[in-house]
Amino acid sequence: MKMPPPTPAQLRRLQQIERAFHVRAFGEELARVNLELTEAERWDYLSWMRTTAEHHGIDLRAQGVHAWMDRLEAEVEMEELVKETSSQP
Amino acid sequence: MTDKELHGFYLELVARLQARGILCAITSGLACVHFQLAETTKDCDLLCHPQNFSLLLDELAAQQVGGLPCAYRGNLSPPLDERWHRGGWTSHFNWGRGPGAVTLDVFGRALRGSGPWEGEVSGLYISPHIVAQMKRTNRDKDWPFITLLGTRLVKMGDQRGWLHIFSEDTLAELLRDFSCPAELLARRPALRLAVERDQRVRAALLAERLLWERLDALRISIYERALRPYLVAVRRARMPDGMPLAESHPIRLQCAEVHLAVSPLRDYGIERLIEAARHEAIHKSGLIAEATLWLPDVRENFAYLN
Repeated sequence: MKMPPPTPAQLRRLQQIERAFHVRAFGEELARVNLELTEAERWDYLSWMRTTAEHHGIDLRAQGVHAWMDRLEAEVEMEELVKETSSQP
Repeated sequence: MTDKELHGFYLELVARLQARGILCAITSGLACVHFQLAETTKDCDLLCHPQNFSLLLDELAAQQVGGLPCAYRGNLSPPLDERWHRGGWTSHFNWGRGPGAVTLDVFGRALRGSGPWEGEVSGLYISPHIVAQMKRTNRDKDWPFITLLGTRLVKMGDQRGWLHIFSEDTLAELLRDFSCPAELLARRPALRLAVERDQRVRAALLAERLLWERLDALRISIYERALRPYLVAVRRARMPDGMPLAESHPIRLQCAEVHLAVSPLRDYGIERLIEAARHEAIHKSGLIAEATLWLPDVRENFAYLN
Protein backbone atom coordinates (compact mmCIF):
# COMPACT_ATOMS: atom_id res chain seq x y z
CA MET A 1 0.00 0.00 0.00
CA LYS A 2 2.79 2.37 -0.91
CA MET A 3 1.98 5.85 -2.14
CA PRO A 4 4.42 8.47 -3.41
CA PRO A 5 6.12 10.17 -0.47
CA PRO A 6 4.35 13.33 0.72
CA THR A 7 5.34 16.67 -0.81
CA PRO A 8 7.22 19.09 1.50
CA ALA A 9 3.97 20.96 2.19
CA GLN A 10 2.13 17.72 2.97
CA LEU A 11 4.99 16.61 5.18
CA ARG A 12 4.83 19.87 7.16
CA ARG A 13 1.09 19.36 7.65
CA LEU A 14 1.62 15.75 8.75
CA GLN A 15 4.26 16.89 11.24
CA GLN A 16 1.80 19.42 12.68
CA ILE A 17 -0.86 16.72 13.07
CA GLU A 18 1.65 14.37 14.63
CA ARG A 19 2.89 16.99 17.06
CA ALA A 20 -0.66 17.91 18.08
CA PHE A 21 -1.35 14.29 18.98
CA HIS A 22 1.96 13.96 20.84
CA VAL A 23 1.01 16.96 22.98
CA ARG A 24 -2.53 15.67 23.61
CA ALA A 25 -1.33 12.14 24.47
CA PHE A 26 1.93 12.73 26.33
CA GLY A 27 2.28 16.46 26.99
CA GLU A 28 4.61 19.15 25.67
CA GLU A 29 7.76 17.77 27.30
CA LEU A 30 7.56 14.32 25.74
CA ALA A 31 6.52 15.82 22.41
CA ARG A 32 9.82 17.69 22.45
CA VAL A 33 11.74 14.57 23.53
CA ASN A 34 10.19 12.57 20.71
CA LEU A 35 10.25 15.09 17.93
CA GLU A 36 13.20 17.36 18.61
CA LEU A 37 15.89 15.21 20.24
CA THR A 38 18.20 12.82 18.45
CA GLU A 39 17.79 9.11 19.18
CA ALA A 40 20.88 9.19 21.45
CA GLU A 41 19.49 12.17 23.38
CA ARG A 42 16.14 10.39 23.66
CA TRP A 43 17.91 7.39 25.21
CA ASP A 44 19.61 9.69 27.74
CA TYR A 45 16.25 11.17 28.67
CA LEU A 46 14.69 7.70 29.03
CA SER A 47 17.61 6.62 31.16
CA TRP A 48 16.92 9.52 33.52
CA MET A 49 13.20 8.60 33.59
CA ARG A 50 13.94 4.95 34.37
CA THR A 51 16.47 5.77 37.08
CA THR A 52 14.01 8.16 38.72
CA ALA A 53 11.18 5.60 38.50
CA GLU A 54 13.31 2.83 40.00
CA HIS A 55 14.60 5.17 42.71
CA HIS A 56 10.96 5.61 43.74
CA GLY A 57 10.34 1.87 43.83
CA ILE A 58 8.52 1.52 40.51
CA ASP A 59 9.04 -1.87 38.89
CA LEU A 60 8.96 -1.12 35.16
CA ARG A 61 8.94 -4.83 34.28
CA ALA A 62 5.67 -5.24 36.21
CA GLN A 63 4.06 -3.16 33.44
CA GLY A 64 5.49 -5.32 30.68
CA VAL A 65 3.43 -7.23 28.19
CA HIS A 66 4.58 -10.53 29.71
CA ALA A 67 3.91 -9.47 33.31
CA TRP A 68 1.06 -11.99 33.48
CA MET A 69 3.64 -14.78 33.15
CA ASP A 70 5.62 -13.47 36.11
CA ARG A 71 2.44 -13.20 38.20
CA LEU A 72 1.51 -16.78 37.27
CA GLU A 73 4.96 -18.06 38.18
CA ALA A 74 4.77 -16.38 41.61
CA GLU A 75 1.30 -17.88 42.16
CA VAL A 76 2.40 -21.40 41.17
CA GLU A 77 5.52 -21.09 43.32
CA MET A 78 3.36 -20.26 46.35
CA GLU A 79 0.94 -23.15 45.67
CA GLU A 80 3.78 -25.62 45.26
CA LEU A 81 5.48 -24.44 48.43
CA VAL A 82 2.23 -24.89 50.37
CA LYS A 83 1.86 -28.42 48.93
CA GLU A 84 5.44 -29.29 49.84
CA THR A 85 5.09 -27.91 53.35
CA SER A 86 1.80 -29.69 54.01
CA SER A 87 3.12 -33.03 52.73
CA GLN A 88 6.08 -32.98 55.13
CA PRO A 89 5.61 -35.20 58.21
CA MET B 1 25.22 -2.14 33.12
CA THR B 2 24.07 1.42 32.44
CA ASP B 3 21.06 2.08 30.23
CA LYS B 4 23.35 3.28 27.47
CA GLU B 5 25.44 0.11 27.70
CA LEU B 6 22.27 -1.99 27.76
CA HIS B 7 20.93 -0.33 24.62
CA GLY B 8 24.31 -0.78 22.92
CA PHE B 9 24.37 -4.42 23.96
CA TYR B 10 20.99 -5.12 22.35
CA LEU B 11 21.94 -3.36 19.11
CA GLU B 12 25.25 -5.24 18.89
CA LEU B 13 23.56 -8.55 19.68
CA VAL B 14 20.93 -8.15 16.97
CA ALA B 15 23.53 -6.93 14.43
CA ARG B 16 25.65 -9.99 15.20
CA LEU B 17 22.65 -12.33 14.87
CA GLN B 18 21.78 -10.83 11.50
CA ALA B 19 25.42 -11.11 10.38
CA ARG B 20 25.23 -14.83 11.18
CA GLY B 21 22.31 -15.06 8.76
CA ILE B 22 19.57 -15.16 11.42
CA LEU B 23 16.40 -13.46 10.17
CA CYS B 24 15.43 -11.29 13.11
CA ALA B 25 14.43 -7.75 14.04
CA ILE B 26 13.75 -5.66 17.12
CA THR B 27 10.09 -4.93 17.82
CA SER B 28 7.90 -3.34 20.56
CA GLY B 29 9.35 -0.77 22.99
CA LEU B 30 12.90 -0.49 21.66
CA ALA B 31 11.54 -0.14 18.14
CA CYS B 32 9.21 2.61 19.37
CA VAL B 33 12.16 4.62 20.72
CA HIS B 34 13.83 4.25 17.32
CA PHE B 35 10.60 5.49 15.69
CA GLN B 36 10.63 8.69 17.81
CA LEU B 37 8.34 7.40 20.55
CA ALA B 38 9.93 7.39 23.99
CA GLU B 39 8.93 4.29 25.93
CA THR B 40 10.50 3.34 29.25
CA THR B 41 11.20 -0.28 28.44
CA LYS B 42 14.26 -2.18 29.62
CA ASP B 43 13.51 -5.37 27.72
CA CYS B 44 14.38 -6.26 24.17
CA ASP B 45 11.63 -7.97 22.16
CA LEU B 46 12.97 -9.81 19.16
CA LEU B 47 11.14 -11.30 16.21
CA CYS B 48 13.11 -14.29 14.92
CA HIS B 49 12.27 -16.69 12.13
CA PRO B 50 11.59 -20.09 13.74
CA GLN B 51 13.83 -21.87 11.22
CA ASN B 52 16.74 -19.96 12.77
CA PHE B 53 15.97 -20.96 16.36
CA SER B 54 18.82 -23.45 16.76
CA LEU B 55 21.33 -20.89 15.50
CA LEU B 56 19.84 -18.30 17.84
CA LEU B 57 20.07 -20.72 20.77
CA ASP B 58 23.76 -21.35 19.97
CA GLU B 59 24.43 -17.61 19.82
CA LEU B 60 22.67 -16.95 23.11
CA ALA B 61 24.49 -19.83 24.79
CA ALA B 62 27.81 -18.31 23.72
CA GLN B 63 26.90 -14.77 24.80
CA GLN B 64 27.83 -13.70 28.32
CA VAL B 65 26.99 -10.42 30.05
CA GLY B 66 29.26 -9.37 32.91
CA GLY B 67 30.46 -12.97 33.17
CA LEU B 68 26.90 -14.27 33.46
CA PRO B 69 25.56 -16.86 31.00
CA CYS B 70 22.24 -16.58 29.21
CA ALA B 71 19.46 -18.66 30.78
CA TYR B 72 15.77 -19.24 30.30
CA ARG B 73 13.83 -16.87 32.54
CA GLY B 74 12.51 -18.59 35.68
CA ASN B 75 10.29 -21.62 35.16
CA LEU B 76 7.88 -19.78 32.93
CA SER B 77 9.55 -19.68 29.53
CA PRO B 78 8.32 -22.07 26.87
CA PRO B 79 11.20 -23.66 24.92
CA LEU B 80 12.60 -21.89 21.88
CA ASP B 81 11.07 -24.36 19.47
CA GLU B 82 9.16 -23.83 16.24
CA ARG B 83 6.23 -26.06 17.29
CA TRP B 84 5.22 -23.86 20.20
CA HIS B 85 6.02 -20.56 18.51
CA ARG B 86 3.75 -21.52 15.62
CA GLY B 87 1.08 -21.77 18.29
CA GLY B 88 1.68 -18.22 19.51
CA TRP B 89 4.02 -18.91 22.43
CA THR B 90 7.05 -16.74 23.15
CA SER B 91 10.40 -17.60 24.78
CA HIS B 92 12.11 -15.56 27.48
CA PHE B 93 15.77 -15.28 28.38
CA ASN B 94 17.88 -13.35 30.82
CA TRP B 95 21.41 -12.72 31.93
CA GLY B 96 21.40 -12.38 35.71
CA ARG B 97 18.32 -11.91 37.88
CA GLY B 98 16.39 -9.15 39.58
CA PRO B 99 16.02 -5.52 38.52
CA GLY B 100 19.50 -5.43 36.95
CA ALA B 101 18.88 -8.46 34.71
CA VAL B 102 19.33 -8.14 30.97
CA THR B 103 16.34 -9.69 29.27
CA LEU B 104 15.42 -10.87 25.79
CA ASP B 105 11.92 -11.97 24.71
CA VAL B 106 11.74 -13.92 21.47
CA PHE B 107 8.71 -14.07 19.17
CA GLY B 108 8.63 -16.55 16.27
CA ARG B 109 5.32 -15.08 15.16
CA ALA B 110 4.21 -11.45 15.26
CA LEU B 111 1.16 -11.70 17.54
CA ARG B 112 -1.86 -10.11 15.82
CA GLY B 113 0.22 -9.63 12.66
CA SER B 114 -2.02 -9.87 9.62
CA GLY B 115 0.76 -11.08 7.33
CA PRO B 116 4.31 -12.43 7.41
CA TRP B 117 6.69 -10.09 9.20
CA GLU B 118 9.78 -11.41 7.43
CA GLY B 119 9.47 -8.97 4.51
CA GLU B 120 9.15 -5.97 6.81
CA VAL B 121 12.63 -5.84 8.32
CA SER B 122 14.54 -2.60 7.88
CA GLY B 123 18.03 -2.63 9.41
CA LEU B 124 17.79 -3.86 12.98
CA TYR B 125 14.07 -3.06 13.30
CA ILE B 126 10.72 -4.36 12.14
CA SER B 127 8.38 -1.93 10.40
CA PRO B 128 6.07 0.42 12.37
CA HIS B 129 3.11 -1.45 10.83
CA ILE B 130 4.05 -4.73 12.56
CA VAL B 131 4.88 -2.93 15.82
CA ALA B 132 1.46 -1.22 15.75
CA GLN B 133 -0.31 -4.56 15.22
CA MET B 134 1.64 -6.22 18.02
CA LYS B 135 0.82 -3.34 20.36
CA ARG B 136 -2.95 -3.89 20.21
CA THR B 137 -2.99 -5.16 23.77
CA ASN B 138 -5.20 -4.69 26.80
CA ARG B 139 -2.77 -2.10 28.26
CA ASP B 140 -3.90 1.54 28.12
CA LYS B 141 -0.33 2.75 27.65
CA ASP B 142 0.01 1.09 24.22
CA TRP B 143 -2.81 2.95 22.46
CA PRO B 144 -1.27 6.41 21.95
CA PHE B 145 1.80 4.66 20.53
CA ILE B 146 -0.39 2.85 17.98
CA THR B 147 -1.87 6.10 16.69
CA LEU B 148 1.59 7.66 16.42
CA LEU B 149 2.97 4.64 14.57
CA GLY B 150 0.01 5.11 12.21
CA THR B 151 0.82 8.76 11.53
CA ARG B 152 4.46 7.84 11.02
CA LEU B 153 3.46 5.28 8.37
CA VAL B 154 1.31 7.84 6.55
CA LYS B 155 4.28 10.22 6.63
CA MET B 156 6.39 7.47 5.04
CA GLY B 157 3.82 7.06 2.27
CA ASP B 158 2.60 3.73 3.68
CA GLN B 159 -1.19 3.88 3.59
CA ARG B 160 -1.57 1.05 6.11
CA GLY B 161 -0.99 3.78 8.69
CA TRP B 162 -4.70 4.65 8.38
CA LEU B 163 -5.50 1.31 10.00
CA HIS B 164 -3.74 2.38 13.19
CA ILE B 165 -5.21 5.81 13.93
CA PHE B 166 -7.40 5.53 17.02
CA SER B 167 -7.76 9.24 17.77
CA GLU B 168 -10.90 10.90 16.43
CA ASP B 169 -9.20 14.32 16.31
CA THR B 170 -6.16 13.02 14.45
CA LEU B 171 -8.35 11.21 11.94
CA ALA B 172 -10.38 14.37 11.31
CA GLU B 173 -7.19 16.45 10.91
CA LEU B 174 -5.70 13.93 8.47
CA LEU B 175 -8.88 13.71 6.42
CA ARG B 176 -8.96 17.48 5.99
CA ASP B 177 -5.80 17.34 3.86
CA PHE B 178 -5.34 13.73 2.76
CA SER B 179 -7.51 11.03 1.30
CA CYS B 180 -7.79 7.53 2.64
CA PRO B 181 -7.72 4.68 0.06
CA ALA B 182 -11.16 3.15 -0.56
CA GLU B 183 -9.81 -0.34 0.08
CA LEU B 184 -9.05 0.61 3.67
CA LEU B 185 -12.51 2.12 4.21
CA ALA B 186 -13.96 -1.29 3.40
CA ARG B 187 -11.65 -2.97 5.88
CA ARG B 188 -12.23 -0.58 8.76
CA PRO B 189 -15.77 0.71 9.37
CA ALA B 190 -14.57 3.45 11.76
CA LEU B 191 -12.58 4.97 8.89
CA ARG B 192 -15.67 5.03 6.68
CA LEU B 193 -17.61 6.86 9.40
CA ALA B 194 -14.76 9.36 9.74
CA VAL B 195 -14.72 10.02 5.99
CA GLU B 196 -18.50 10.51 6.05
CA ARG B 197 -18.10 12.88 9.02
CA ASP B 198 -20.50 10.70 10.93
CA GLN B 199 -20.70 11.72 14.58
CA ARG B 200 -20.63 8.08 15.64
CA VAL B 201 -16.94 7.80 14.72
CA ARG B 202 -15.80 8.30 18.32
CA ALA B 203 -17.99 5.41 19.49
CA ALA B 204 -16.78 3.27 16.60
CA LEU B 205 -13.11 3.88 17.47
CA LEU B 206 -13.85 3.08 21.10
CA ALA B 207 -15.69 -0.13 20.14
CA GLU B 208 -12.78 -1.19 17.94
CA ARG B 209 -10.24 -0.55 20.69
CA LEU B 210 -12.40 -2.44 23.20
CA LEU B 211 -12.52 -5.37 20.80
CA TRP B 212 -8.70 -5.53 20.65
CA GLU B 213 -8.44 -5.19 24.41
CA ARG B 214 -10.89 -8.02 25.01
CA LEU B 215 -9.18 -10.20 22.39
CA ASP B 216 -5.90 -9.75 24.24
CA ALA B 217 -7.38 -10.33 27.70
CA LEU B 218 -9.08 -13.53 26.53
CA ARG B 219 -5.91 -14.68 24.75
CA ILE B 220 -3.90 -14.21 27.95
CA SER B 221 -6.43 -16.13 30.04
CA ILE B 222 -6.28 -19.05 27.57
CA TYR B 223 -2.46 -19.14 27.52
CA GLU B 224 -2.34 -18.74 31.29
CA ARG B 225 -4.43 -21.89 31.78
CA ALA B 226 -2.23 -23.76 29.31
CA LEU B 227 1.03 -22.58 30.86
CA ARG B 228 0.24 -23.60 34.43
CA PRO B 229 0.90 -27.39 34.18
CA TYR B 230 4.12 -26.74 32.25
CA LEU B 231 5.28 -24.26 34.86
CA VAL B 232 4.71 -26.84 37.60
CA ALA B 233 6.59 -29.50 35.59
CA VAL B 234 9.60 -27.22 34.97
CA ARG B 235 9.68 -26.25 38.64
CA ARG B 236 9.63 -29.91 39.67
CA ALA B 237 12.53 -30.60 37.30
CA ARG B 238 14.58 -28.52 39.77
CA MET B 239 17.02 -27.00 37.31
CA PRO B 240 19.60 -24.88 39.13
CA ASP B 241 19.64 -21.13 38.55
CA GLY B 242 21.69 -20.12 35.56
CA MET B 243 21.86 -23.66 34.18
CA PRO B 244 23.55 -23.48 30.74
CA LEU B 245 21.09 -23.28 27.87
CA ALA B 246 22.54 -26.39 26.24
CA GLU B 247 21.49 -28.39 29.32
CA SER B 248 18.24 -26.70 30.24
CA HIS B 249 16.76 -26.56 26.72
CA PRO B 250 16.26 -30.35 26.32
CA ILE B 251 14.67 -30.53 29.78
CA ARG B 252 12.23 -27.74 28.87
CA LEU B 253 11.44 -29.51 25.63
CA GLN B 254 10.63 -32.72 27.52
CA CYS B 255 8.38 -30.82 29.94
CA ALA B 256 6.66 -29.01 27.05
CA GLU B 257 6.07 -32.20 25.06
CA VAL B 258 4.07 -33.61 27.96
CA HIS B 259 2.60 -30.54 29.65
CA LEU B 260 2.36 -27.60 27.23
CA ALA B 261 -0.37 -27.44 24.59
CA VAL B 262 1.21 -26.44 21.29
CA SER B 263 -1.52 -24.03 20.20
CA PRO B 264 -4.05 -23.30 22.94
CA LEU B 265 -5.74 -20.51 21.01
CA ARG B 266 -6.34 -22.68 17.96
CA ASP B 267 -7.60 -25.44 20.28
CA TYR B 268 -9.99 -22.95 21.86
CA GLY B 269 -11.19 -21.82 18.45
CA ILE B 270 -10.41 -18.51 16.72
CA GLU B 271 -14.03 -17.88 15.73
CA ARG B 272 -15.11 -18.60 19.29
CA LEU B 273 -12.48 -16.22 20.66
CA ILE B 274 -13.53 -13.43 18.29
CA GLU B 275 -17.20 -13.94 19.04
CA ALA B 276 -16.57 -13.81 22.80
CA ALA B 277 -14.44 -10.67 22.45
CA ARG B 278 -17.03 -8.95 20.25
CA HIS B 279 -19.72 -9.76 22.81
CA GLU B 280 -17.64 -8.42 25.69
CA ALA B 281 -16.56 -5.32 23.75
CA ILE B 282 -20.10 -4.29 22.93
CA HIS B 283 -22.69 -5.79 25.24
CA LYS B 284 -20.68 -5.96 28.46
CA SER B 285 -19.35 -2.44 27.89
CA GLY B 286 -22.78 -0.90 27.58
CA LEU B 287 -22.32 0.19 23.97
CA ILE B 288 -25.36 0.14 21.73
CA ALA B 289 -25.89 -3.05 19.74
CA GLU B 290 -25.37 -1.12 16.49
CA ALA B 291 -21.69 -0.82 17.44
CA THR B 292 -21.21 -4.45 16.35
CA LEU B 293 -21.48 -3.17 12.78
CA TRP B 294 -18.49 -0.88 13.31
CA LEU B 295 -16.09 -3.66 14.29
CA PRO B 296 -13.50 -4.77 11.72
CA ASP B 297 -13.03 -8.36 10.64
CA VAL B 298 -10.02 -9.42 12.71
CA ARG B 299 -9.67 -13.01 11.48
CA GLU B 300 -6.60 -12.13 9.39
CA ASN B 301 -4.86 -11.06 12.61
CA PHE B 302 -4.98 -14.66 13.82
CA ALA B 303 -3.87 -16.25 10.56
CA TYR B 304 -0.39 -16.54 12.06
CA LEU B 305 -1.70 -19.54 13.98
CA ASN B 306 -2.39 -21.50 10.80
